Amino acid sequence: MSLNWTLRAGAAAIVLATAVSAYALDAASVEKARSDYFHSLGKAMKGAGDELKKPEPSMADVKAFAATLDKLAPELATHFPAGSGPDAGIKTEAKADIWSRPADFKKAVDAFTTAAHAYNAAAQTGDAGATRTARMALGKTCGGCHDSFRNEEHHNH
Amino acid sequence: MNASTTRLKIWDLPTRLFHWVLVVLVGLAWWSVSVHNLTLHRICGSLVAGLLAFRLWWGLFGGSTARFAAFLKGPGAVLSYARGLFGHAEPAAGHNPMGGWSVAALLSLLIAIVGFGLFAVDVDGLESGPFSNLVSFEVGRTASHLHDLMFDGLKLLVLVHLAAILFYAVVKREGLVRAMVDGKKPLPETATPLAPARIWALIVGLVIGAGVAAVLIRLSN
Repeated sequence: MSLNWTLRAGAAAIVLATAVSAYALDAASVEKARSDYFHSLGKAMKGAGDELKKPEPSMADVKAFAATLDKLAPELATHFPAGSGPDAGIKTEAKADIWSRPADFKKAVDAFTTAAHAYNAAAQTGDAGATRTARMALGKTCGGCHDSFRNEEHHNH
Repeated sequence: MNASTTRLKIWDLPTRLFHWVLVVLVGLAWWSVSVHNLTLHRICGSLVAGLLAFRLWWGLFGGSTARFAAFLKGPGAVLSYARGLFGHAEPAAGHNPMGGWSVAALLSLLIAIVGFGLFAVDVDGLESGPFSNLVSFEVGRTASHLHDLMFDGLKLLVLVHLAAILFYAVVKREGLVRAMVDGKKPLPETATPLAPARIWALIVGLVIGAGVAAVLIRLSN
């Protein structure tokens, strides 16, 4: 009986430990996917920006980068499941405000998605000037959200 | 000031202007990035690059006290100066052996900051330095981190610089700030004053500095 109890307690401990580590692993992999996701947004922004800096940008390239961004944009909110914030014990730039102020976060994310869509629409017309303007407007929605919901990795001012 | 000292000219006008314009531009660059005005930040950076190009030229062909060969001394001179720091050593007619290396370190950090800034890309891929199109997003991000890191180093070194100025003012009774304003410092009459540079050296230096700044501003925006 006593041995049985010990076995049961041991089994329970193993299950618990596995669950805890699985949970921690989950938050870490969410963070990894999230980081990769934002990385791909940054790449698409830079790719178009490099072209648009030229006096004669290749609009075919710009269109492709803009389409990628527009396609990726609606995915953003899915990268912030509950339990993937700084409380999860992972290294993340995501602020707890994302989950404590969900309405504000949603507003910021929607502004980004809308701006990404408008940016892609501008790019697909092939008008470099309009695309530049739309890209800057889109950039403002990145910065606007980052100001409230992202910890900058390195800034002491 | 005792009877045998006189206010001797040690810093030429270009060196002093370089110093104070640099202070203003670095301050403005810091402020501009804190308010997310990256257009102004790139202009400041371009102007700082122009100043640095001028200063490197001036370190070779400028006034005697601005020349690297005059103020970069060997370890022996630095150590012996450091040992006599609290004694009654003659004030230096230019950079002292320790100060010379501090200037070299400040200039090196500034060059590194500007250099990394040219390739830096922000986290959004939105704002970037004038040469960032030559590198990938990843390399641009690394350049941006190094740009930040070097600036932290610069802030630290500026604090050391200010502490040294305070030390000279309080302990050694030497007004280094005033010397950097009007170019003159109380020195024994036997001290070697500034030997000014040739006018052609100034003209060439200004053309180099203005050229670097103009090209970078044009590429930045």
